[in-house]
Amino acid sequence: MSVEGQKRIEKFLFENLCEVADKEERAFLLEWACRDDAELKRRLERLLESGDDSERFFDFIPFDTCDPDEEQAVADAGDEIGLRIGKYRLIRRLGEGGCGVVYLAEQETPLRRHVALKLIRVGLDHEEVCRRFEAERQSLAMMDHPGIARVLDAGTTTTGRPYFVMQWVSGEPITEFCDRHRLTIRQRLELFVRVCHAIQHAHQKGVIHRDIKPSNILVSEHDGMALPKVIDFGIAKATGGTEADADGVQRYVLGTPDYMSPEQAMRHGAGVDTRSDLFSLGVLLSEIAAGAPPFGAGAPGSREAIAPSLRYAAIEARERMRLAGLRKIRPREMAKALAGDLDAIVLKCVRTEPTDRYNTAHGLAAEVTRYLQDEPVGARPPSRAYRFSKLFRRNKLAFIGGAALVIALVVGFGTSTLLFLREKNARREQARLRSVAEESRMAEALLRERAEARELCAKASVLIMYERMEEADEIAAKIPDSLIPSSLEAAGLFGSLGNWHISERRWPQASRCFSLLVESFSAVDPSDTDIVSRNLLPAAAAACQAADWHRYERLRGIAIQRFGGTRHPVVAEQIIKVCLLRPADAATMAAVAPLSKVVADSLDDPPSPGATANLRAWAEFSMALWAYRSGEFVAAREWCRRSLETESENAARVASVKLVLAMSGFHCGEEQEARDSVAEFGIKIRAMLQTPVREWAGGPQGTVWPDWANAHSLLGEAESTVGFPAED
Amino acid sequence: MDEAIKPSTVLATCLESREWRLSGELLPLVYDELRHLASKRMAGMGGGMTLQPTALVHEAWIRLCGDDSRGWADRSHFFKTAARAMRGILVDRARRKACLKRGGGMQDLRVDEIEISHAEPEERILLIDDALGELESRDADSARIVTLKFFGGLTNKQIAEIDDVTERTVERKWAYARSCLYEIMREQCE
Repeated sequence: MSVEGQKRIEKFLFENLCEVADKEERAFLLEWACRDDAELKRRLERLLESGDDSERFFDFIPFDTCDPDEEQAVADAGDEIGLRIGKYRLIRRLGEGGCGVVYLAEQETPLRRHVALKLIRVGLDHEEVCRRFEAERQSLAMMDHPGIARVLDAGTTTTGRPYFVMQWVSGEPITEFCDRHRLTIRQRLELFVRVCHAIQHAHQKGVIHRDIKPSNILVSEHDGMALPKVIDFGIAKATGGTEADADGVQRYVLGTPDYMSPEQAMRHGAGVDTRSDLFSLGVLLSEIAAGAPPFGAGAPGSREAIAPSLRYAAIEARERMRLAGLRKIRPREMAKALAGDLDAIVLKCVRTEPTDRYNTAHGLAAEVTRYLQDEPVGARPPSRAYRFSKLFRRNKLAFIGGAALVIALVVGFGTSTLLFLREKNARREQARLRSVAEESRMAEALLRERAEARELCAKASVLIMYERMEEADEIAAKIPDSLIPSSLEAAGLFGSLGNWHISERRWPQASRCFSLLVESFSAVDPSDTDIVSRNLLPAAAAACQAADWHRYERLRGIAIQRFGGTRHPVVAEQIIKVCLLRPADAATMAAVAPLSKVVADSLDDPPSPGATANLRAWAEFSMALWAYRSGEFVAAREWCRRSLETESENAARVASVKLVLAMSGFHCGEEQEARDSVAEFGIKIRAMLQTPVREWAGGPQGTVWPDWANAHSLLGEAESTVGFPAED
Repeated sequence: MDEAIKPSTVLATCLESREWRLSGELLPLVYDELRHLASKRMAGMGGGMTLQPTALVHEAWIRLCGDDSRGWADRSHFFKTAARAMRGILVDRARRKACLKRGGGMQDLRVDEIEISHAEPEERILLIDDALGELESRDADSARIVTLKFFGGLTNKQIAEIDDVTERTVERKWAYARSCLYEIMREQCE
């Protein structure tokens, strides 16, 4: 054997034996493979043995061969400074997080500005990350709040690492800010309330943060005012657990253990909702107020929450002194400030069951505000002594006012009026706060439902990816129609489910799915193109097949409202077909009239080379339908003839045209011919309807199933017009 | 700068000619650029220290080609050339460092004096370079993988794209090449 041949065999054996983890098995295979070649066996043994050593030997970055100082510097510094990523140039490393490194970067076009660029750690499945980010993008773009750093862009580097670009915020983590400025507990709580409002805004837009912690809340000072800004919104979701477990359900394993809610820690990805953020906010509240999180060591979810005041009491004396000093009070005052209401608020936030927590960030903010105003907080079980102490403290003003009145009687009338008014304002403010709290409680319910709908939608979409249609359908059926999210994800979900139902001829279910597809999609894409309008066709067809007239009317409404003013001939033709598939009232006819003008104008021109004969024939059919519904039967017959003359074979369209032709003819007095024609096409259409739905589609003219479904709807109408007894 | 001798012009010519391996012009060009970038980083200029080979190669690519709009084929050819250039730079540097550590002077460092199990990083580079010369004569393909992966800092994925094979294949080839190289080093040190 040649040397070359020996090399190849050696290589082959090495590569395959490498894969065998079991030592005995490997030795056995080696023995057998090299039974005639002791030299080969010796070489392979040595090569396989050196596997681990060689791996260790090569396990360093060749450029880092510097002296200790240099190596330290290498460890500290970024690897990619000066690199250009997309339209951004990295300037300096800002920090490192669980899923990547954050850089300060400069954007050069279209405007020069500083941004924060987060480069995701290699190893996360970047396609999945990008796909999820795309799904989130819509809602992220809708967030517009001074307390939220916006996510501006996302992409992948030339080496395939995903990155996110965020508004750059120059600030320090909230805990550091509070301590460095020695904020009092009151100031800290006021700052916390502002954080809650930012989070609430995101929740209202349907975005859950999932990784709230001090380093994600940066505070800066503007005109002596502390401004918190929440960063990294939506990134946690996009970069979270990328594998699906055995059930095919997405896991979200992320967040910082101390701040992570039990449902996140327990990997119940689907159970994560806005209230998970409330948990993290509770931990944050404890941290900034008491200087310690409400949990000791241990796994999240399995730990007992400890009231902040007790956590504080358990801290070593000197540290307690330091913490109190940072809040400009004495340790004993600090313990007193934490005990009671703040303990109760924090403990309510970090309850294991999401339903036991505050429902919204707004609710939490209102509660903290009530504490700051000395009003009773809802988290605390009302005892009489507690209420009394609140009553007494709240009415201090009135009490002082009362005392002052005596003096005022002596001094003069003016002062007492002023105090009276002040007291009145205080009451009014209290009433206002109460109504705010009431409103937010009402908004909470809706908000929670929306978040739940989004979660269900995401869950079902994942199941679709694994082609587990039954389960996906079961989940999607739980989402109330009124709460369908406006997202591409939802549109995709209902499109897939609709097609699945169609293939099984479940018209009512298909009707629901296609209608919901229209509702979510037409809200996502505001463009005046047939990409959006063509989704109305299957929805209307399925609704008519299911005799779901309520949905059909609603689709008509959407069609007219969204596309009533279109100048696009293809869109206009589709909307006419959707709206006039069934007899229409005067209002509908009036709304469709301008569309028929658009189509007629487009047909005046000679056929352009780009337009297909099929499209032209459909346009002529829509004109026939328009004329027929307008009672202009002669014109309708003319349009039908023109449509039949146009050279294009689409059996479903021909059937529809023939039926409109027959009905028009019937009204013109050619009754027998009409009956014959309806009978003839009735047989054809019913024969087609017997075949599996997937056979309806196809052909050179791109027949789609709604074409046959619509022919079938028209058949019903034609039969009753010419006086046949109803069959289906 | 005269239009004719602009690096990007030379590079563009090389890219169009597609004769990378034979190109006598490209290697020195890439070499100079990489050395320039590396020394700039070492001197602490430019805001930080970019010492990762991959980052250096990327930066060189961006500086020489102006943008990253060129196709993958161009980039992979460039990376191959850059990996060879990087080997030269790293070995050069490691030799100087090792000499300094051993009491200065520029006398020749003898590879067979290095203790393989206790080799410092720069000594390892010298050992690897030396053994790689031997491996090139025995198994050119394995040697090429080591150059791309170790000196060029390319990922398995990038190499897989260059060779048009799966990442798994690259991983296996790398394991074999590594073991062979280690074996050669052991032979030389024993």
